Amino acid sequence: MLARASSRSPALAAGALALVLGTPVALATTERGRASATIVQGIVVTEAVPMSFAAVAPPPSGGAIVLSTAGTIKSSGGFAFRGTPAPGAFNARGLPHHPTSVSFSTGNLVTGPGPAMRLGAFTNNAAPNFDGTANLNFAVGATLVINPNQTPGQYSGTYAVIVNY
Amino acid sequence: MIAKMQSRSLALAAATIAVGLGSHQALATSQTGTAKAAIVAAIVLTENTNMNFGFIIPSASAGTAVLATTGTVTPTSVTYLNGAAAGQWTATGTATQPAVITLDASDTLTSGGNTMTVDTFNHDAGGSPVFTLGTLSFHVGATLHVGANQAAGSYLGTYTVVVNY
Repeated sequence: MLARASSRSPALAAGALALVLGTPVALATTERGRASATIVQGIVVTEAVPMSFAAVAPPPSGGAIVLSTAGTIKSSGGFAFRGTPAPGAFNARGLPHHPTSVSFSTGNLVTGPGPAMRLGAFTNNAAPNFDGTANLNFAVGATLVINPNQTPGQYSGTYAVIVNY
Repeated sequence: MIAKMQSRSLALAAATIAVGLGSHQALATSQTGTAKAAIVAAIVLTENTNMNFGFIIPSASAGTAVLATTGTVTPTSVTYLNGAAAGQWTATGTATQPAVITLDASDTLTSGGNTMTVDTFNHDAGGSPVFTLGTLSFHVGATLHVGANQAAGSYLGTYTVVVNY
């Protein structure tokens, strides 16, 4: 009797021990990880100065004139220019230091009394990133194609400036 | 007599322990108990990469950014720019032991007084992860809920990862 009772007692004790080691809570390891997100406002673009080719006297054959981002006009021979041309000037606000790209609409026309003139081959001097205060200021130049014997008068048109991240 | 008394006393003691363990076989004196104890190393959990939803532009309607464990973001009603990363973790434990990974149901990212909810946490350790060779590496993804016109800012928060045997 004594032997039997003794032998059972350690077995039960061992059973209890196994139960303790199997308890899940004792071995769980918990860590807190970091999560983040940056919400960015959409870019807002504002035109500061409208693009202007000022006054142009083309030769009868017409031709292309190129307005640079510095505001100078270049052309083939026969053109005369009056007034002060101006490149387009824009301000965009976005995310500080974030890379950005500038693009333009295509198929733009400048219209007036005569046949429409094509405006394209846009250039710009935007930095590759918004600056530290979230600004991107840049000038826009373009090429205007004047038709032969273009009717004199006031011509105007629009173009789209697209600033993207 | 003395010997018998002692033996009875021990038998009763054994029965008492057995009842405490919830057994109804306390008086079956011929059973041999089986004891098993798996000694396992304490799990160490390390966050290698913070979860990041990257740069997101909100819209006029509420949306979501679903960050997969692969690090790709699937946006709905928001614009995702770049910069996202899934959370990446390494757990060390006893080789060949199965692991149980538990993630939060929902957490909050805050920026000043503004908040966003993160939920649907998931990992890529599979349905029956194992500490193969003593380590278990996995990624954590989740869903970010972006409010309509969510205020710009850098949002931070934490989430809990529990790894258990």
